[in-house]
Amino acid sequence: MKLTFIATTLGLLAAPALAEPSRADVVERSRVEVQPAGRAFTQLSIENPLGDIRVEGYDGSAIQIETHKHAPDDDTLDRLRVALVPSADGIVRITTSVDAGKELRPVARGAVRVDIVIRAPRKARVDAAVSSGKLEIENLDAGGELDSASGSISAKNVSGELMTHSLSGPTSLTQVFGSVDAATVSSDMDLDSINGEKLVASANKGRIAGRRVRSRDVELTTVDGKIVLEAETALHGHLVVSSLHGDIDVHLRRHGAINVRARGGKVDLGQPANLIEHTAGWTVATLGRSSDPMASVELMSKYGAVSLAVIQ
Amino acid sequence: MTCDDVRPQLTAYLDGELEDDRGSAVRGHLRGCEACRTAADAEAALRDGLRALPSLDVPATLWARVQAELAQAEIADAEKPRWRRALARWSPSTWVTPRFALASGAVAVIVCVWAWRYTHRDLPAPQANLMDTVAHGVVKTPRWAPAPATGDQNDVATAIAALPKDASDEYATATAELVALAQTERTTWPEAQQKQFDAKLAELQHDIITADEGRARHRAYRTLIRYLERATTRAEVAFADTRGTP
Repeated sequence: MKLTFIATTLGLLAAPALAEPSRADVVERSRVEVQPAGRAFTQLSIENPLGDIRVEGYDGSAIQIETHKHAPDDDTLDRLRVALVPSADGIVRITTSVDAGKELRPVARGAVRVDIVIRAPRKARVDAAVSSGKLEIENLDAGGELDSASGSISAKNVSGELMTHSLSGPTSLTQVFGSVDAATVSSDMDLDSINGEKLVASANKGRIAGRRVRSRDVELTTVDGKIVLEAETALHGHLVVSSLHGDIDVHLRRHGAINVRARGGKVDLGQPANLIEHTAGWTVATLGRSSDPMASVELMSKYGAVSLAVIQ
Repeated sequence: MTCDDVRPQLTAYLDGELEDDRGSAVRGHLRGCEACRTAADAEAALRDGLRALPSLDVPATLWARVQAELAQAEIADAEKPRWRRALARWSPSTWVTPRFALASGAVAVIVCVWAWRYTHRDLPAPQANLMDTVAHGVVKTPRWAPAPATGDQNDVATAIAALPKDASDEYATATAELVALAQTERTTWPEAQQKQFDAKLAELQHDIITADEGRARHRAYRTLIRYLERATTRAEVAFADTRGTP
């Protein structure tokens, strides 16, 4: 179904203060459903440099795609393309583009936009990339890879191996059941309820905030940003938190004993430990009975403060 | 030299067909003009893509048909009066031997049709505009190809074409800052550790240079960035694998 709305000049004049500079005048919405041809869809690959991507998993087998195109006029709207390639191996590729050519007049980037909302089978892996738009996935069971330049990345209730990378867009991962590898260059990262074998997260010039982190092996790294972590240690698990300039603040719910090594501009291990040593700049301590299964914790910030609080 | 002067020469430049001085002038312009550089990159990428296409292996049946058409044309030619064959030696063949021209044309059409079918045979469902897609994923429009860059910096198509390189530039900036930080930290490490770091840094930088622009290069940058983060924050320089590469 195709609906076209043309905003009236009167409307624009009535609310000039609310109108964004890049406000599009023509909007086209379309929906399409792609049924699997024999074999279930295994992977969804989406590249949308023109706007947002949102993918929601559901229990059906078809892929439902809704697109919202915005442009200043009908001619420009016709140049916005959303291409779809379903392949026999169960992979569906969706890309957006703009028709270009010498005979066509230039279109300012902020003047056009394509947003995509997809309902996909839960078991399909999702690989998606945006430029400055938002990238959101939710309720999926096969993980995926999310890429953004300056747009935000959000993943919620996702199982399977998840990989995210962003240059300057913030990343938010909530309720992930599987290994996570997340990286940002100059933006913040929020992690909430991460459960899996491994969590590796790095933010070069941004902070990392983690809550309810229960991954067995955890590695968090920043160069300039602060790291705040509330986590549970797994028996025989490893937790490594490091920064060059940022402060490190870790609240740990422990199961069994933990062996802690910490180094920083200032080190505070909080509660009394069984054994504390100071060796070559490191503060080493054992919390809990050393006969219990032991997890290892390593905290270091060369120029920042390091603090650890253990919750029994 | 202006953009209008350079654009028509880009193809010849990329083919290495320009004279030294003209090639140098185009190269100089490309160094200073991002729009033309983007256009050149787009054309180079398109050519790389075309080169990567599989070569056409013409089936024996096609050649048999070509030979049959030629033989037919020769027989028809032999049946002509002597004066007409003599005239043919002094005239354009397409004018004197229309059947031969017709046969050549037919062969050309056959080759084109066959080539089109060959290049489209591996597409189970060609790409299409969503508006042309029906519920079963069957599509109607021809294959999609990346839109060529127009060269206008304010144009959205040009901006999209430049995105991979823009991202690489941002990664490069972050990498340069990290390398500087790591070099400062490096001075505090033992000599053996410094050597390990230098070798690994060189290896990962080489990976970036040799990676294709786009995802492969971005991935190579991320590998280096993560390595530098680990080296800088906890002097971890020894591992050689790419664990945790985002």
